Amino acid sequence: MSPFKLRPTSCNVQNASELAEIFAGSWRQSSFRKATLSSENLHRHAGLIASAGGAALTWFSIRRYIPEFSESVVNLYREAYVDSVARAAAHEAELERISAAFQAAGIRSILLKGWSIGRLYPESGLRPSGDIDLWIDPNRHVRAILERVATRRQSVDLDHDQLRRFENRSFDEFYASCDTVHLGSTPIKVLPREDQIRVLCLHFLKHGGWRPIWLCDIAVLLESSNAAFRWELCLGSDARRARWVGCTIALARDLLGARIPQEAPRCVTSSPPGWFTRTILREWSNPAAPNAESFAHRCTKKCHN
Amino acid sequence: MSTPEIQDELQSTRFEQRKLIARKIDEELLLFDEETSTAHCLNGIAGEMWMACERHSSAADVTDFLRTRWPDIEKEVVWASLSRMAAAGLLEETTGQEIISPARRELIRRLGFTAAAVLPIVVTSVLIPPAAAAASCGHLLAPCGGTNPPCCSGFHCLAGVCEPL
Repeated sequence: MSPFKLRPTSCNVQNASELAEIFAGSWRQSSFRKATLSSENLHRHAGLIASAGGAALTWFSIRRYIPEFSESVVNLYREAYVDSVARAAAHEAELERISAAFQAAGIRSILLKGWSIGRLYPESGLRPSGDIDLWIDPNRHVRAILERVATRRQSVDLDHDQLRRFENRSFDEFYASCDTVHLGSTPIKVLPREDQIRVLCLHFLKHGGWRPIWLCDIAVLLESSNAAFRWELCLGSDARRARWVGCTIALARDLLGARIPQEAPRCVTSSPPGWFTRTILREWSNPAAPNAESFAHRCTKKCHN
Repeated sequence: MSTPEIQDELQSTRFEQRKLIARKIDEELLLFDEETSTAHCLNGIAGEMWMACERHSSAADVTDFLRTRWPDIEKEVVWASLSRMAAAGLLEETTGQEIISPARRELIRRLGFTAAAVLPIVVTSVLIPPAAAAASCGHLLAPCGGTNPPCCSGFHCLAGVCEPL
C-alpha cells in the first residue's frame, strides 16, 4: 500500500501522483505487484517515467510479473533496463580508470552522487548514470591527468558550487570523514551517508526537484543507513538549511514511502508544507526540460509570504 | 560432417574474449563495447560460450565445458556459434593454419551455413549513445560543437572541447 496521501487538484498533478505511486518502494524487492503497476499505467506514463530516470527501476519492479503485462510494455521497459545497465557499466569503467589515475598521481578525490548512490541499489544500472561528479583536492590540478585517461565518453564534473555555497567544512575535513568503498579493485572515497543525504537534498532543491529518481536516491540512502545515523550531522548546523533538508526527507517519505531512520527530529517527522509537495508534483508532471527557474520563483514567493 | 579437415578446424581454431565490459542480467549476459558504444545481449548458452573463452579455447574445449549443462550439444554447432560471435566482434579468432585450402574453406562454409539454421545462440546488439550526448550540457573536456550538447555555464567550446572560461 502506497503511503501517498495527497489529493491532486489537476490532471497533470494526478499523473505525477500516479508516477509517485509507481516509484514508491520500487528499489525494494517486493513480494507482490502494486495495483498501479498495470500495462495501461506503464504505457500511459512511459514518457514521464523515462524523463524521471525511472524506466530501469520500473523494469526491476515488474520483471517478476512479466506474464501480467503486455508484450509492448515488457519490451519497452526491458530495453530501457538494458540501456541503463550498459551505461552504468561504461560509467563504472571510466570512474575506475580516472580514480586509479588520480590515486597513482597522489591526488585526493571524493566521489559525489552517481555510483556512490547507484551501488546502494539492489543492482547496478537501476538508476541512470549521468556525469562523474568528483570533488578534487582544491590544491591540485588534474587537467593533464583527465586528458590522458578520460575517454570523454562520460562527462566529468569537477565544479560543485553547491559545496562552496552550503558547506562550511573544508575539503580536508570532508576527506578525513569519508568512507572507502571499492569499485573492482580501486578504492574510492565517498561521503558518509549523513553528508550524502544532505548533499542530495540540496541538489534536489537546487534543480527544482524535477527528477523523481533523485528523491528515490534519497530514499535508498535513508534505508541503507544504520541505527547509528547522526541526524545532527545530516541536517547541519544552519537551522534554515536543516529545515530544507528535513522537508525533502519528509517528502521522500510521503511520496515514495521512504523508511526514515529512527529518532528523527521534528523537522523530518512532520509533514512538509502543502505548497512544497504540490510544486514538486507539478515539476514531475512536466516531462520536458527542467523548470528550476519557475520552481525557484514560486519558492521565493512562498517563503516571503 | 566429420571430415578430417573439419575435425582439424575444431581443434586448431582458437577463440578468446575481446576486452568488453560484461554484466550478468537475469539469465542473459550483457557485453558492452566501449569503442563502438554497442551493447550486445547474449542468451544463456551464448553467454556460457563467451565465458568459456576466457583463455584461448577451441570449439572442442568449449563443447566439453558446455556438455555439463547441455549434454547433446555438438562440436560443429559450437564452432559455428563461436565463429558467428567472432564475426560480431565479441571474440578474437586465431587459427593455427596460415593457409586455408579452397576445399577446406568450402567445407567450413557449408558447415557454417548448415549450422546457422539451428544455432542455439541469440545475440541482440543495440547502439547506446555516449552519455555525453545524452547530457544536457558539457562539462570540462566534454566534446562540443556539431551535434554535441553546448558547454555548461563556466565553460566555452574551444577546439571541439569544453574549456573553462
